[in-house]
Amino acid sequence: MMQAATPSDSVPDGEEFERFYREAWPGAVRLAGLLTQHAGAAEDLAQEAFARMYPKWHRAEHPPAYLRTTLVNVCHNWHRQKTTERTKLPMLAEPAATDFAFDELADAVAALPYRQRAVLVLRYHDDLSEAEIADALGCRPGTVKSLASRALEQLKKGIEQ
Amino acid sequence: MSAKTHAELEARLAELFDAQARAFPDTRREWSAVPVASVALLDEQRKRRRTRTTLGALGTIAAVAALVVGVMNIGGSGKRVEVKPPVAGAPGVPAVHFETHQVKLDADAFFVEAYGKRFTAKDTRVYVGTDPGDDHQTLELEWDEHGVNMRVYFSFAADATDWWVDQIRAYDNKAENDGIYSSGERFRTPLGSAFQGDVDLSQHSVRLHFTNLRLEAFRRPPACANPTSQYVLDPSSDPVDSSGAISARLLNAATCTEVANLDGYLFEFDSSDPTIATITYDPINDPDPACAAPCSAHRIRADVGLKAPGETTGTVIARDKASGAVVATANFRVVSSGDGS
Repeated sequence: MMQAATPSDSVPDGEEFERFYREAWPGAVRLAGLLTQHAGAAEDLAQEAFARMYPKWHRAEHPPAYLRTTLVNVCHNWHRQKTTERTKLPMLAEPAATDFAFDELADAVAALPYRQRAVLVLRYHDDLSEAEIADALGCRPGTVKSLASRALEQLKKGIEQ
Repeated sequence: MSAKTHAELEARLAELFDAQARAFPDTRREWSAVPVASVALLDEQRKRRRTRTTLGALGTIAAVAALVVGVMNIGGSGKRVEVKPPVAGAPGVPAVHFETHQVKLDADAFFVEAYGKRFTAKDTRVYVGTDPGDDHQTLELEWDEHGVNMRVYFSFAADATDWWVDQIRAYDNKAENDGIYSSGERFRTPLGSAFQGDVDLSQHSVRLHFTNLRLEAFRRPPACANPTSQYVLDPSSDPVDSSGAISARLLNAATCTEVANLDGYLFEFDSSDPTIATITYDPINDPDPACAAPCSAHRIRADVGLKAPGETTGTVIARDKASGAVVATANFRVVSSGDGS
């Protein structure tokens, strides 16, 4: 989960952003990787999100949420535009984490439409509430529920085949 | 496959995401403002990086493309929701009127007070939506006023005889601000009728007020109003916007109750203009884990692909499996922003 400092009036904007960047960077890379299921693009997309956020830093009243929303949008754009073959996200080299069923689930997650996968990542990895996910995706809470329900049904179908 | 239950699938998802996240090294990086000076500079920096390593080359190209496309999309992106301005003003006309396929809300006066300002949703565009669940529904209102994106959200539950409100929220679209988050059963009302009364809720310096609120959820499907055949089809929403899916129920027209066994029927979905939105029948053959028994073992559902901005008409048809005869048909609107995801 992304967690980082919030702005305060006593620190200049530049230093404050740099501190936020340092603290939020690892989480942003992980979230980009999970959203896209593409390890190779994660750092670039995280950098992209910070670059977009930088000129608007003084207006970001809740930087972690602002970064999350920006990252979701950047990854969505990348997902729409990508024409290259998806590189499967690497798994940990732990025997327990690489069983066959686990790989099936990873394949099914990677095959989901972007917004469905984003809802699952934000809910089950970032532990966000329905309202927070709705804010990050720019949709209504009811749509989050619908996307999550649809995604879980798709996963069940995918891993049972 | 080992994920047999909903809970197990959720647990395995958390486990999968955790394992994938741990696969990323916990790198640190210092910020440099130079790359954000312009798209050209960013591009140049990435070209230099590309000469150092080929590992992330494809991702880099895609990310630069994403930046350009993202900038172009700023002006064109819009909310993929139906806009229904409130009706107000004239004598005898409710001050606010919000209506979806499942929920209807009228009130003689309505406002939210927060941050020293009063939000009335008048003279602005209000986004009205409902999540059409089997035993839970919502009414979601969203509008911009005083530079704030304000939201009022009702969650409804029902049993065989009554419906009621089980959550009310009034909040702005900022995570750090408090709002009204009120859970608990309210307004229990027999199915088929509306709750009526004044409502005034305050929490965290936010106040939500309705004068003479008339609120009805789990409304009797319009398809049952003047049936011309033995069965009617009830689409879950009208219009369909960003949800990506549409479901429908086959109802016995005389009783307006759902046909429990759908084995004897075939279903088709179609779009009048597939260049705006495609509608592909994709049934679900498991009961909804969240629905209250008895639940149908089959749900009539279709995927909606939004292809281009515009509006088109969707059709769902039920046929008798043995004879092929049409037993019910229904149309619904699809409002597309052109976002295919």
